[in-house]
Amino acid sequence: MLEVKGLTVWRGDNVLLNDISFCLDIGSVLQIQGANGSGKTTLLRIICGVGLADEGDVYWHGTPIHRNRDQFNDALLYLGHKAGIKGGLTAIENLRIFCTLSGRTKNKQTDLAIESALDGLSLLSKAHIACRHLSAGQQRRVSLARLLLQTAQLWVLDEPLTSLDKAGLSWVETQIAKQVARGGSVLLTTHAPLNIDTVEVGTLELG
Amino acid sequence: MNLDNSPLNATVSAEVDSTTVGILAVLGCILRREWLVALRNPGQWVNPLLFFVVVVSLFPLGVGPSPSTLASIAPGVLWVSSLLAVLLSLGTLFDADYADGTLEQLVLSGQSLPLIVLAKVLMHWLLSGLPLLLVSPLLAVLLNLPVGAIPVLMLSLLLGTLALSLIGAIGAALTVGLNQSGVLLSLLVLPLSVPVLIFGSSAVAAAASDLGSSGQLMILAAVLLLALALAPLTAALALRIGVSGSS
Repeated sequence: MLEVKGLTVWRGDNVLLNDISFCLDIGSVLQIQGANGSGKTTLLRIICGVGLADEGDVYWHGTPIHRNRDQFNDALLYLGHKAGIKGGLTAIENLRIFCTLSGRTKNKQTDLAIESALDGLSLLSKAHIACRHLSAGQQRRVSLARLLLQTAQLWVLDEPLTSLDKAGLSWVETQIAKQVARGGSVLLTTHAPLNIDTVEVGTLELG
Repeated sequence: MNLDNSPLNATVSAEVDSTTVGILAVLGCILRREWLVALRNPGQWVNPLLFFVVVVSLFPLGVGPSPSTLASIAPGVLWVSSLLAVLLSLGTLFDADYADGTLEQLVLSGQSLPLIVLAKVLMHWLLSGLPLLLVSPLLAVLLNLPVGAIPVLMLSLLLGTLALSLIGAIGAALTVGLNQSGVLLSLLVLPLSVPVLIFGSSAVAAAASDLGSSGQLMILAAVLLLALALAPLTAALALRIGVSGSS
């Protein structure tokens, strides 16, 4: 369903990504590995449509993503290197904005969903504190709560495990397993080995 | 932590459908977001206002307290100061969102980006342009501007600062992600804001000499409408480029 064909990116005179091609099928997980600076984040940003490739294209259900951006954006959940939360707002406020922008109407149900997502990440007691006062790991958890609030076919996660503790790690693994079980796909970069019993994790080595 | 929260997750998934929320909901959501962010970061809207007040009140000290001199320079001083105050406050319009990664989330949200830009500019104006407008009568009296010209001053500032915020948004979007972009932003935006300055100050000057100023005000309104139609689209396009330029 996601197909990457011949992506090449130049940085000055050096080639950063050289002719990268792969397919991501329904219900599969692909882990992109590579040393620091090997272009993992660049690759993920290009796949999401917020980065530009010098050559090659990304296809979603057979159509290049820039021709089909609305449909692709609806099907995509991107968790970037930066947390993507406003430091001045509380966890609940941040997630409410995310819910509205991802097409959920603002109502009691949405609020309950946000609360239970935060509860699952043991953040409920911190839900009314401005996010800038939370620890790095807690901010990462606020960001991860979005995984429960939108049903996207494709998750693109850039280092989702950064500054997470062990419980957080296994929470992410559980969510990835669930995403695969309901027919979604996951594309992620991480240095930690993933340990999910029910899912076979493919790998792509860069550099 | 409860790791096996499958029933919870099942209900969450069932509730989510792909119904698109209305334009007003998105507009309200962004307005509220900007309001809360500004409320907890008062410097964002207090600084331009203070700048405006300080610059204008330095003029009587600098050029001397002669009432007739002050009255003749008042329209220009008030307008130049408000132009600079608006420009000063524009730098932060997209930079904070860029730095914390929420800008790329907005770009990828699938909602109309021009609409999001428009909402951000509106709230920016409410917090930086409107206070200037409200404090301007006080400063006009300080500069000995005839009282009869004050309604025209406020009306011209209403149209003008709104247009300047919209025009400035284009510059802020073009320079997003660049370090120390203040000078570049001014260079980009100043030529576009010169018409607003010229017609704004000449409207006030005309009113101060008991001449009609409706012509200048209508041109200001025309500039505002043009900016309202084109600036959000242009800025949204520039933001898409700005976000994809970085990695």
